[in-house]
Amino acid sequence: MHFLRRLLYMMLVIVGVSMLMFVLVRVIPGDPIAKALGQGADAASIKKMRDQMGLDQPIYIQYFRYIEGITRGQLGMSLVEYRDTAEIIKDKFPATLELILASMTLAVILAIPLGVVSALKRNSLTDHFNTLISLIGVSFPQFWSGLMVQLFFGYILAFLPITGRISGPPPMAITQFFLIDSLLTLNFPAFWDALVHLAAPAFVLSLAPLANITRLIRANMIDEMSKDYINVSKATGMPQAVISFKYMLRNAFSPAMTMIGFMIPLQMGTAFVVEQVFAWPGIARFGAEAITTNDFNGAVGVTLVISVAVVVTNFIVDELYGVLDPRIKLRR
Amino acid sequence: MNDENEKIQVRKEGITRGLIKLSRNRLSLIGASFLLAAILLALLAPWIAPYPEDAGGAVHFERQLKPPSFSYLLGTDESGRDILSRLLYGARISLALAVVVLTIAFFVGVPLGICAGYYGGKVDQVIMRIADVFSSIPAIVLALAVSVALSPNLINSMIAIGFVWWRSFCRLAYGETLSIKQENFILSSKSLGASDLHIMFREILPNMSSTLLVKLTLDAGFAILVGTSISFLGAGASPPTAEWGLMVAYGRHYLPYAWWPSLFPGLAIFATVLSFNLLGDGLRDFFGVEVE
Amino acid sequence: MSQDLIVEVRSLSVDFETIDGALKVIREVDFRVREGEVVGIVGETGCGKSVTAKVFLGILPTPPARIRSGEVYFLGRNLLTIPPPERELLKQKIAYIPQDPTGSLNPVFSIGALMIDMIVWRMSGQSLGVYLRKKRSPLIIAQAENHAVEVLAKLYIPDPRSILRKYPMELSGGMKQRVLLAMALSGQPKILIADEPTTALDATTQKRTLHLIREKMEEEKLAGLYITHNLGVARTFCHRTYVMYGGTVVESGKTAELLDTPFHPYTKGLVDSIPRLSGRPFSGIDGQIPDYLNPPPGCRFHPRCPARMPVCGQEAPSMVQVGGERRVACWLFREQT
Repeated sequence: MHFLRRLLYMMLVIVGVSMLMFVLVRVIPGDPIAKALGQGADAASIKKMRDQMGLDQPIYIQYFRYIEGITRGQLGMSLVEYRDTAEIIKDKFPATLELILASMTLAVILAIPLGVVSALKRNSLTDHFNTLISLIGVSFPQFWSGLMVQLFFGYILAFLPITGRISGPPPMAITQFFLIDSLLTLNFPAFWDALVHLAAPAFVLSLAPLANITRLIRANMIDEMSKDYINVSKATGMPQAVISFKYMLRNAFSPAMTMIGFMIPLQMGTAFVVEQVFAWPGIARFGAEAITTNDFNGAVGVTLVISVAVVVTNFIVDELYGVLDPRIKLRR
Repeated sequence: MNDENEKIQVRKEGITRGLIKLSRNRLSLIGASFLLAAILLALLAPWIAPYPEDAGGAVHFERQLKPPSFSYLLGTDESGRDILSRLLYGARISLALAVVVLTIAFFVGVPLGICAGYYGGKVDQVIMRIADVFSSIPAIVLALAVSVALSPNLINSMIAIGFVWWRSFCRLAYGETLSIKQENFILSSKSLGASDLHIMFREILPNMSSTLLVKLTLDAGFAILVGTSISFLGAGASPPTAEWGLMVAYGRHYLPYAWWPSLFPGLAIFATVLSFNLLGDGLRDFFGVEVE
Repeated sequence: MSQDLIVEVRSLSVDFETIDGALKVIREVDFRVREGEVVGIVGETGCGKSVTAKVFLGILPTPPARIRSGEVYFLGRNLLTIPPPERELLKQKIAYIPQDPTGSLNPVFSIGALMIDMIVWRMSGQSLGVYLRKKRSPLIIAQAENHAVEVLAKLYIPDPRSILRKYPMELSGGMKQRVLLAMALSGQPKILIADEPTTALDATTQKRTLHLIREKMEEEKLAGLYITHNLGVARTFCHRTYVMYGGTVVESGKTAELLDTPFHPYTKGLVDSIPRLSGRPFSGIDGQIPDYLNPPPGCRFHPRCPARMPVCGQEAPSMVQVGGERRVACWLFREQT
């Protein structure tokens, strides 16, 4: 029952987002159609296009037509690529998803040891250093750190490619995730190719979450250290390694899980600049272009999809939290 | 009488101990001093910049893309303009952006959040649902869209970001109000007949001041990050304005050979945001509040 | 150190570092436990008895605590100076039941998981590699499980095999305490350290648990260190008792003697404070526990002592033997052989 209510609420939010974006992108000065068709377009073809896209109708009619289009799986034609936005998104979304998932995985893998060590060596030099690193990690302007990484790894060290998703032919499309597809088809050269292309942008994108997750794990581990059950294990001679990495970490990590879930939507925003810098063919780069060139269908479409992703992710994480911590479930 | 003195005594002790704690946190002191220096430099820019005319549209093709040297401490950009001078002026812009954004966000978000938390019911639902709608669009995306909608320029990008930012202040104020309004002194004020406005703004608001202060400090940094990102993507300041993000965007074309036009503005952004974070983190420890 | 001494603590002093300065929580504490003997440490809240036990168990968080001086011998080895692997091995011979059973079992693991970890670790000779390998062998796990069931059954826990599958939050307080006791006893320990183990339980469960602990200790001929503020429990349970005040030991001796004829003014005050059914006026002890930041010079009890003398505020008395097993730290008494 409660579940249904939240589901309904989720949909309400999505509808709200669609309305907001819809109005927003139509409030622009200047004529985007004229701009899109270029210098040589004459008034007639401009008018024809406007009619085709229904732009001269009152806004609520435009909105209903848009919603109607969605039910048919269409998000309106994009002025950037001259095909339906839904198609464009279908093509580009896996790239962004792969990037975000890779960055979060990297962040978690690095954050766990950093956080645990930091907590165990509290107030030592290592700890202060790690805290500093955490604060540094969230202070980078990602477009700049992207450029610096490109400079360093791409030019100075010259061992990572710095643009694009893959240099050679992509693996056969099963999931659209290059890493998975290449493994599934045993296409190891493609796997390596995709991996090295993923490395730099995923690293840049992982810096901020890495910083935050490390702090989170550190804080939780420190809480754990004063727990009675840890004392009991220590007092009776269980080895520190087991205590830290099994008993403490298990409890320290689950609250972090939900935070991690909430970070994924935030990463979508950061992806807008990272994809730009690394020429990553994802929806974030497309979205940035769509918005700045007044491609309203493209802009609304991308924003809608992103918000849906955000809302759905938050919803899932909320539900998951209830599962992981039974006390939450009981309180509801 | 003695109670008053005791209270003052206890408060003084508390503040002294807090200050000791803060000063032991060397990192936040570093952050605070850097910020102070940055603000000072920004204010004095017109007088201390070596080439103040370069901050605007001056063009000196004869000295374009010169590496850092004695006459041009940080080198020159693609139009021959001194990067150091432009950085100083850029500081004015970014700091101004932080002020504008936070002012809008604060004065829109906080009252709405307090109202939502205080009145509850329909007011709560409506306000918080709108906040939720705004929250499900990542900051950069929405700010980008709004900025473009308003026709992209620097001022509009500031307004756009402020438009986006109100939601987190609203959320924070809402949460704080919910917990504060349970307190006994609120209930007693109510029973004494205090007006709603009085309770909300003279009793509830002061109690969240430390949390709000920490958030303002931390968010100043993040607002600058978003602002420079928007300019980088082309929806904010336009050339020849000496805005940090824009400088990086233009310098990008000359990488890897001329690294200084992109490196230094980005470094400035990084240092400024880091200082805000260091200071905010220190304040967070000092006040013992929990703000993310 | 004589043969049958299991525990010997000498001149233990511990500080707690805070922003305002160092709290001198424990000063020059000495005590010993012999094989098969149950020793009690009594005192009011804040007197340092728990801290003492925690130092012995090695669970004192060492920032902010700092061990200034002293030696802590267990089975002949100084726990403070030996390397961690040796320490962990020795600690397997220590059984510990803490005050509050609720927080003492890791909530995300089943009882079985916790017990099996302990049992398998003991079979692994201090080697992490061996431990990890054994954990993957179903044969060893089954053995460990059986051992766990045995141990639980010895404590009269009904249907032990199903308890293994339960999570701590599914058990009652008394049951948790029994499980903790079972876990503690499972490794054939030499000493049981109990830190006010029944205060968190209701009265009837308290009694039952105490009986159980006593029974098991007698069965296994276990030595014991019992921390409590309850003099009655000390009398029932402990052969010898140490009385602590303000971080120092003020008196020690055979429990019955100590409580019947207390020597130290503080012990007297404590004993007198026990409400009696025979309607005698109820007396307490004036004053408050000392400020550990700036403890009173000399004897820490002297500001509250009805029998104080000038020397008490100048020099701290050391423990002197006053006949048989009795020792007192008070200027009112002199060494008697």
